[in-house]
Amino acid sequence: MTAERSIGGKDNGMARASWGVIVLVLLVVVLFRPVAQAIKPVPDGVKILLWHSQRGEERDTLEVLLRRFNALPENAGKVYVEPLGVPDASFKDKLVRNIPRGSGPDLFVRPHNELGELHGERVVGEVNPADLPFPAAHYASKLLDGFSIDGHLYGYPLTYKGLFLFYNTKLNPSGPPRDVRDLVALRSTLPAGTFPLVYDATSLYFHSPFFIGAGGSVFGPDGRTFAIFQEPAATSFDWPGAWKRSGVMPPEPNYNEMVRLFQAGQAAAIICGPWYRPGGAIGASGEWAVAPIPAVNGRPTGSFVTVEGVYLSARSRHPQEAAKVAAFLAGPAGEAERFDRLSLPPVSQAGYARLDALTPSDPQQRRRLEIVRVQRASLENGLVTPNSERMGAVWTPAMDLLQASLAGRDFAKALEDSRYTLARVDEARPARVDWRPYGAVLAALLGLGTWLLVARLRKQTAGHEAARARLTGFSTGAALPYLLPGLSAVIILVFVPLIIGAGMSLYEHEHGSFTFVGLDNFHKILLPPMARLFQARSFYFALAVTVLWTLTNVVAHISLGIFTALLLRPSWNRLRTVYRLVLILPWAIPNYITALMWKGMFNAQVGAVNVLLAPFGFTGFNWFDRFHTAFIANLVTNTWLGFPFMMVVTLGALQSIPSEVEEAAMLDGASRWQRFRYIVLPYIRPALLPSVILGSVWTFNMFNIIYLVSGGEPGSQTDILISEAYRWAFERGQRFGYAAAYSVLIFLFLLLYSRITSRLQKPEGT
Amino acid sequence: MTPGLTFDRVGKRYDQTVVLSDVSFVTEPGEFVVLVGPSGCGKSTLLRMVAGLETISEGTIKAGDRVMNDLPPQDRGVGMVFQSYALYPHMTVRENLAFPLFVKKTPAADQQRAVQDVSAILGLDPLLDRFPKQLSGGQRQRVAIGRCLVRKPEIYCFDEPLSNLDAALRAQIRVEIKSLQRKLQKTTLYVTHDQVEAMTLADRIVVLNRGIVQQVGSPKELYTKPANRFVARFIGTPSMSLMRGTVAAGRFSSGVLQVPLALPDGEVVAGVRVEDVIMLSGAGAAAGASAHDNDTFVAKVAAVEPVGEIGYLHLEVEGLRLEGDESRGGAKASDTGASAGLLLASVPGHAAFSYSPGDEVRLTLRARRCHVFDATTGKAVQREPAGGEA
Repeated sequence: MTAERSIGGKDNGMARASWGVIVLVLLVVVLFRPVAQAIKPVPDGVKILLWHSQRGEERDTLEVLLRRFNALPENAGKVYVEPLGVPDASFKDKLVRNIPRGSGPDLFVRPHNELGELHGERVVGEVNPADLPFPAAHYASKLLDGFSIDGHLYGYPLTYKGLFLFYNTKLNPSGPPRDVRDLVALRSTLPAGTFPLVYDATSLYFHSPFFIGAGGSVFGPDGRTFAIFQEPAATSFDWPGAWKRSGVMPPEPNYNEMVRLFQAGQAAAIICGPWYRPGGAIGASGEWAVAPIPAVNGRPTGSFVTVEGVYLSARSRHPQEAAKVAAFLAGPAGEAERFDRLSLPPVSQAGYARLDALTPSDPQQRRRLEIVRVQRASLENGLVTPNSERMGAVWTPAMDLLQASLAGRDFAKALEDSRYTLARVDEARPARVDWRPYGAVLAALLGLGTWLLVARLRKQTAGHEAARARLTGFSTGAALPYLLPGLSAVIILVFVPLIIGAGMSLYEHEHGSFTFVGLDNFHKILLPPMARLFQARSFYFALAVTVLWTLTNVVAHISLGIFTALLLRPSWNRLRTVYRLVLILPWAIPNYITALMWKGMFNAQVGAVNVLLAPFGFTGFNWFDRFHTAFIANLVTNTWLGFPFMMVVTLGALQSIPSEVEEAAMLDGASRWQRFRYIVLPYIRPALLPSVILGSVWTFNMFNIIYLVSGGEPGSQTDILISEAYRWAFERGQRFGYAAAYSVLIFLFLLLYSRITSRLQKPEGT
Repeated sequence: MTPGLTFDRVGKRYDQTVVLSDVSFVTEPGEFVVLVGPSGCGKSTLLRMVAGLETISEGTIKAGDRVMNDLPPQDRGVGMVFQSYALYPHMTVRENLAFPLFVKKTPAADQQRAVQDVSAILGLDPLLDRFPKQLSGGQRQRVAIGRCLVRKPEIYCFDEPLSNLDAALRAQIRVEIKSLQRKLQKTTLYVTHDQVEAMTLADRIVVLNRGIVQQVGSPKELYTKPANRFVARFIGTPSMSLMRGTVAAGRFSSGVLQVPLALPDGEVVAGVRVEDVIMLSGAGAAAGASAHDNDTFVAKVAAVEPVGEIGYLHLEVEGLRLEGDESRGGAKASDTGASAGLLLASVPGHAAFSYSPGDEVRLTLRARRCHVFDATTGKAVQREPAGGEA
């Protein structure tokens, strides 16, 4: 028995050991795979590194093509390509950082609209037209425009994307709408609650067909002057509002809402791009087809077209080989592969000739072919989106204008505003300023500061306070080591950024280089043209909004906080622990989550707020069309977030009130309100005051709610100072210096505020 | 016209805990009634029920003919002075005094006049513009009383108003309250745990213990005819000594202690106050006091406490079985040490200094003034003739 068991035990041990070995081997394989890959035989020849941000099938297709290139006999031992996926969001940053240091790729794949900026950063290499896989004249018209800057070529076109029309075949028995003129008439033939045409009318990109159809172009003939808000096409920005009011378009025409309507069969047609495949009811029934975008008053139109290209790095070590790889990817083989696998439009006329020869019987194939053809129509009748880096300045003012139209605001005024915003891009760059006077002032200030500090320290080491410190053995010197960790953290985390930010406010930023401009930013912020003094995006307007925002919030937080605290106080409220927990929850949830939930609840179509307020005629009411409703939406969200804090503080303060005092007041005949007004409130005021100050500072800088709920709509009117600063830095042309000047002003404002309130607080304390 | 108060089978319960039960007594209009009892006996609760700060679980409280049970506090005509004074700290004395009128929106001139009147009565004039935290305890107490006076209530309630004051001030304010009450002639309910306050202030005392009324009566009644052991121990300082012993042939004995008591044979508890223990020998021996030899006994001095005008002697009496003290809380301390109980006696202050521990003294008890309680129920046993005065 014992022997058997021991043998059995041994077997067990062996089994366990072998399992252990397997796990160990797996671990080694998993952990050391990169090493294993590194030591696998390296192909001979020149290595070309290609960066891309493609995913899924596009990535597979790219890799298949690259493997095919590597396998070509003429490349064996001479050249091979290695792809590297780079996250889309940081692609540009990584290029700009790596290529000048020689650590970047030899090639990279990007849409053409970033070219202007990349060119400005000098990371793109020029392409010799002779290296193109097809002669320049053999490309589909306009495509090469996307890669040309000042007559030079900077990329190989791979494919392009244009907008086109998806239509509901059941709702359009006689075919798709042919002209926008017909839309209003079409409206009456459709069932109630169904719209003839939907698209994301808040975006210039989706609106581009109408803009182009109205004869618009973004830039003047010189390719620099902004022509987007000039007639004749400027009027086209007012069409969405008219369509919305005539029932052609739904009340809140944003992208997700439009897709939802189309898929639910509530929209006869939608303008969208090749990335979209109808899902939902329409997708399931297959009752959809594609068509070119309807003409604008008899004039056929296209859309903004984005061309995807492969670019050479400006610092490639093997430009010849890289050009070879690029030509292969952009050549006939790549073109065919991309159409066959991904249904992406070819770029050469030859490619289209091949397609025209195809007559597939499979409806799926036919549809794919159709999608390519309608995109070609969009290209022919449309525009390749200008690649100028000045294009970046266009989107926001155009969006403001579209939103003004949708909200039914004064269009002429909104147009004027958008023109002004755009004109600011062309403001003369401030001249470099001599830094020496500033340096002298700074030195003088530093000297004064040091002198004051020393004087104060002197006083402390000589005064009677210091005498006591010597007696008790508690000297400043002894305290220093204890303070050092905290002090250094504060210096690194607070003072250094503060000083850098303040310094930056004296500079103007362009393409990563900073020019010293002195107080020019402050001058521009504080002394805008008189006409703009109190309009959205001016400092004073934002300041007024911020102050209003802070005041209303703090008042709402406190009144609601006190009210709920009073409700939770009485001992007969048996569920108060539960209520307290529930009421503190909004505070415990990260505020951006709450903000996004509220944003959803204020949705015009499906938001809970409108559904609840439906009896009062709020169906389809767009909260973000008007300043005061957008402001209220922000206010409601932030109040939801902010009152629990005040409630907790109040609950604590209420506990400090002796019950006898309230009973005395009750016996003295004070009503409930009088007891609150004359007894409770004076008692809790000292405890509330610091929280009010704290709460107002938080609210003053409450970026998340503004950014996520109203997003500054309409037209940056609900932006507060901090979100304005953000927009100047990251959404209105990287004006870091200008944004830093905003932050300095915010800082000064809050500094002043805290000085005043600390004065206010003192008499209470003594 | 100030009403009298009628308590009819009043009870108070919090969930399962009974705080007061079956409280019934009647007070005359204008009477100064003191509710007294150890802490936790329910006296403050009863007061708060009168003021309307607590609901009345059972029974009724009437002021005159008015049933108070469901009246809101401000409509009861009851003014209350709290132990903590409950002044409004953020208001000046003047504002504190005027507050009851201010919330009724009385014209400012009338408010002013009422405040002047009250501050004249209470001597608050120099303090009117101070804040409560700038006042001493006694001053605060006066302001609290003043705030109560301003309302001109028909019934005054005082909830241990003196317990936050030091001893000297307490005596002074006690006198002030008493004279104020005499002047106003309003029915007053006064809660205290201090029987000295109760005895000095009250027209009538209600002794409460564990939520039950023990006895209602004038100070004299309570002192001379305690209804039970609890009242006997609680009223009087120092407490009455309670001795357990047997009665045989008209004589009570506990150890060597002997006293003639005309009672049927059996076990009883006899009580004697310090002033009724008479020294027959030694300094301060009662002049001319005489007794039959067999009514005297010998004790040994265990400790001497001269407290001034009087001195207390702790006397070891062989075999004396003292009863524990249930009125002052705590366990029955002397129950177990049955070998020699300590009997308390008083001698004139100057005489106390001539005693020292270990001295032997001969003493006797004033039999007529001895109290007798049933050994099991603790209720007073009536003797005839009832104990008269000496």
